[in-house]
Amino acid sequence: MRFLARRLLFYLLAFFAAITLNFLLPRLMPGSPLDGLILRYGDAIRSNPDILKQLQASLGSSDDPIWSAYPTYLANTFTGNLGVSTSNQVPVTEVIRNTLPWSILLVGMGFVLSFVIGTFLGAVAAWRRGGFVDTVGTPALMALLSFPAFFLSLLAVYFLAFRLAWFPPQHAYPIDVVPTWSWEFAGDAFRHAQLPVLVVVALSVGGWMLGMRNVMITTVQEDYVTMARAKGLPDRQVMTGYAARNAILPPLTAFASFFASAVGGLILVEVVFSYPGVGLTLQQAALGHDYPVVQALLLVISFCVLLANFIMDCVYVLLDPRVRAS
Amino acid sequence: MTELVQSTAQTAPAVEPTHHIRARRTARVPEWLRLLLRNRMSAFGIVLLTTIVLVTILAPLLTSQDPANPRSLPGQAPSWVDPMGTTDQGYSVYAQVIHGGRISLVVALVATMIAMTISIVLGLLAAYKGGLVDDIVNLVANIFIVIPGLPLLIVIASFLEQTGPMVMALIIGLTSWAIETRVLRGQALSICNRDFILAARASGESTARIVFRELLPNMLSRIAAGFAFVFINAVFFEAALEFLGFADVNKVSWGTTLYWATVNSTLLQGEWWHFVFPGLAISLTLLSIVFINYGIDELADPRLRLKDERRGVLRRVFRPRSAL
Repeated sequence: MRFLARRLLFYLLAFFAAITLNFLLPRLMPGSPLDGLILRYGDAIRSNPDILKQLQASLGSSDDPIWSAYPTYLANTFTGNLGVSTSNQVPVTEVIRNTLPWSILLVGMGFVLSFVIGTFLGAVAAWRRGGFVDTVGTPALMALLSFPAFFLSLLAVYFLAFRLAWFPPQHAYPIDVVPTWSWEFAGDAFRHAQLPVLVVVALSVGGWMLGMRNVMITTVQEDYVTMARAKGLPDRQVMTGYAARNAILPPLTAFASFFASAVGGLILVEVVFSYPGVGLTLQQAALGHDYPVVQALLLVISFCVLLANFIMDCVYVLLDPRVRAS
Repeated sequence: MTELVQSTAQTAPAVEPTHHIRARRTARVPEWLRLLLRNRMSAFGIVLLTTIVLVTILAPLLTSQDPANPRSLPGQAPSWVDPMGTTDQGYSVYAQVIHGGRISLVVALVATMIAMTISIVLGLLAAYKGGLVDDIVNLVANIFIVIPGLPLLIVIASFLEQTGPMVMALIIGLTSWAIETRVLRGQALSICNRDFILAARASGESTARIVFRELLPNMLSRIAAGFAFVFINAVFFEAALEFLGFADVNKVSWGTTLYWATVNSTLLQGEWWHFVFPGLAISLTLLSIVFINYGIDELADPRLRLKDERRGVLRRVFRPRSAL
């Protein structure tokens, strides 16, 4: 419990740091982002004085020094007052509500699948050193690891969706369909999610496999594994119950950096697939200098990443009795 | 080119008898290179990376086409005239790919140097100083590890009006120091309690001298591996930012060629050559460093090596010609 409490405190601190970063970035940059916005969306901003006040609070203005603006900014963030999109006047909270579920769908399914497949393949590769999975699978997945997310997505869209027409190439559901809570729509959404999820899996499965394999290679040589073999336990039981059960812990500690890079990959996958998640929205908003949306999405992404890390810590506690005991 | 690398590795020690002291200094570099070349994985990576760097440097000699000046028919498939086809604007993809490595590799290299300088200074200082300095460095590094890098870079790029190559190198460098700082700190912590550091401390050496003259030289292999790791990330971030449209899209680089490939929606017109070749260039660069890194890992950790050397398929595929 003390372990989890300490982790929770750390994540709160990290989230606070993300908010502060969000506050400082537009103020530290050369030039004034607000002036740029007024140049671009002048009429829309001037027609509504509330929007201007909101933008000044989040981006900084000359007559509002940093130390007095910071508390206002914090208060706005924690009350969910994230402002209005400058490009289409939609409240930012609504933008988040419409995009976040799609991203969670992709990254959730993709990440769980890649963890399961990757650790399994890694365990098998280490268990049978020099076997088929090790000699062909290890270098193949290493090669796959060096395919950047955008390139792998482009290849998948072109060959699997466009040439072979096995999957729908773009979007999260057919353009002429209105999202509803029905089985029919869920089927559409599932069909459209298959290929992006496949790409997300392909992107991170190698990391889990290599991590698991390298730890498992040393675990296999431990005395308790030899002992389990000597007892005459079935090969499969020694592999899963003795070697893999212990080898799975160290790769899990790499979860934070794996997940952070998976989120980076997710943005690129969404952009290539025109998938209406947080990543595509962030890119569009950032290119269009829609700062309220940009700032809010960075916070939402950071929050989700921290939450995922905390969930993983809980899993870790469940798996490792030593952490529970201390 | 394999022969070239191999021959320097062989001739350098031969000079030793005549110039004893100088030869020993020069012989040190081929020593690790020879070790890496003996490993099939890293030998493959070194040959691949050297080829890519050479092609990038010699680009003007390898094509008469100007990558920024459309001369050919637009949207042509690969042919003898344009070996990698042409874009919708009539640029030669071949010229763009071999010239494009310049910006991509230089930006990634500068970004890596910035990030590694920060991680070396912070990681080693934190480990050596301990106490409050250590706690703060560790906390900040851990926070930057959990905040995802690409979204942060996108946000920074959106606040900047101009993102030229050097600005890109700067922002990538300033956002990718955290993981290596933590790794180097951990490594340095284990060295800090060794006798020679305690002796240096007892004899009253300055902090800077102990950190850079005693600690640093003993961590070079870990720093080399860290350099490879950060470089992989930097190449990826640079290409990703360009691909997403946050760079100067009029400059020629692998990422911007991919950006134009999607802007012109070449995917749905079947012009595969427009994105396959620059994408392959990026992937092969990353692949070469992944393989070199794998070799470094196997060298550093004998347990990862197979004792009975029976990796039939792999050995034949990745055996460099010079080793036959």
